[in-house]
Amino acid sequence: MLGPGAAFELLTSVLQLRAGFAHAVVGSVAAVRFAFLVLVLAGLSEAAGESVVLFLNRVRPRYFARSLVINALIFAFTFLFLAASIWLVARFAFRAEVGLTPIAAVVAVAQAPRLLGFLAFLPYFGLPVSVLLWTWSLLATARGVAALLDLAPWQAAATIALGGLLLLTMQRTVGRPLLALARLARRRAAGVELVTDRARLRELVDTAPDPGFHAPRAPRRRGEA
Amino acid sequence: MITALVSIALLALVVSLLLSPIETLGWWAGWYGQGLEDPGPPAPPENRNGGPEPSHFLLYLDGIANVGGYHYHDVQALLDGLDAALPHAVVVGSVMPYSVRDVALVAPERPLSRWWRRMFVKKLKRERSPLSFSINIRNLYQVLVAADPRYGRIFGRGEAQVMLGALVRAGYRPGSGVPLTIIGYSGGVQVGLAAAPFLRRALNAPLSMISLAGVMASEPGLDHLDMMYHLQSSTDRIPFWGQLLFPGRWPVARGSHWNRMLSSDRLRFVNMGPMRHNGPGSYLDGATVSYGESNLERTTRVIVSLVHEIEARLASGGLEPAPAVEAGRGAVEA
Repeated sequence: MLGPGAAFELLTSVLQLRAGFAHAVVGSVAAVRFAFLVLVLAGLSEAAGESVVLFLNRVRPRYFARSLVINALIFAFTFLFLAASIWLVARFAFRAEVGLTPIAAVVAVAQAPRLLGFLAFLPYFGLPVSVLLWTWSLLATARGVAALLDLAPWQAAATIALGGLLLLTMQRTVGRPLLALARLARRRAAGVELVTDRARLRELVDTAPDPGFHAPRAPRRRGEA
Repeated sequence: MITALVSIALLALVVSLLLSPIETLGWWAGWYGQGLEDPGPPAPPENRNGGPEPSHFLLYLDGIANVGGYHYHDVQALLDGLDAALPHAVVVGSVMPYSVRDVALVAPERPLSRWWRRMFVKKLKRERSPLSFSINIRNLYQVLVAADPRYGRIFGRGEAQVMLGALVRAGYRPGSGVPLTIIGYSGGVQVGLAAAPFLRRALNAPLSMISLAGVMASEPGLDHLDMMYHLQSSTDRIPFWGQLLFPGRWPVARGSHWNRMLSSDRLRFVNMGPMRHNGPGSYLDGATVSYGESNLERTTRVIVSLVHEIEARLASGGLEPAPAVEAGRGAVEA
């Protein structure tokens, strides 16, 4: 594993959007491993920041930590698929001769700003902080991809945008079973039928026979009829 | 040394801000061992000695210095003044506006209750300690929870339940249609607005708000008020922070709840003259006298007159919109 000094230096480079981080992260196996660790930890932090969904679904404490870990892993896999999409676009649109692992490592370590993703939990200020971190990591990804593939900034931006589009397309076609698997994993980890879309989450809070504040229907727990 | 202390203080502020939604979310998720019907199932109304049913309920939501369970002397004086001047109405002041579980900060079940108790004593002794301001910071964070689009709905639902319980215990009969007016002081206004949609649904009665130097966001709760009066001093800058902090209250946010309220003529501003937000010279200061009455007397008199105005509007066939006065110009002089 990367030493603390080198790890700190790499993280600082990413956060400062220095182009050198792309070559540093593909320079050794230890750095690549560290990049994937950053990705999982960023996913964990992001999951903690967005844990309001788990609270709204009345997830019990012992299921809560499990859900955070599963969400972190899904986050990590999503970005690895994004890296694969970017790699495909770079290879066929810009004829870039780079392997999948270096691209994946750059995309992974570029999510370092999201190590602060837990700050999205802050009341009122959390949402703008979340947008800021998302933008920051996107810029780091663009900077890293441009440096690694020796692309102009607009080419790097186009590669990432097309990669994102490709990922969305695959999610809605051949990737549907994988999405269903992710949903199943989330549900099993949470121990309840997870509601995630905004309208139904509002319903969860609002549902009550009028007048008064009778308890809304509790989400059905796994194993219950 | 100073840098280290400032860093520790800043870190403590961020960590406590991060933890501030936990009480609301934990209550909703059932982590405190309570159901969503808690706290307090609506108890049977107290015996009012067979007297006539009150024709108006006033619910007071204190500012962010509130610890729950106790009132400061000036707040108690306001409640007593309203109670004496409005014998036909019931004044309810027992709600802790900053805890969806209705648990006072000084209640033994809170891990930091001893700290809050000490800070409360400092405040009562009027010791000017920055540490005692931690009560205000803690409650200010709850105001932010109430203003957050993700947490505010749960917070409002929980607080509405606390308020409904307090109203029923004070003799309110749900379904009776007796009007409710929320009197919010400073951050209490934001709490009242978060709860307003749920209160409206539960009571199905006229709902108005008197905001005493309220600090509030552009809340959906504004759409559920028949009338809102905003009392503010020309020298009190604290309510302007709300205007600055919450983009929904900026004039550019044309479709926001606040700006719709402004243009709907259901919002009226009342200029209270030179008063401070809190402390000596505040709205509730009984010792500062100007124009022949103390600030407390003036505030009480204005609130009483607005309650009468609400009742007159109701008696005349419903709350008719009052002429709107835009913030900052042409405010109505009390």
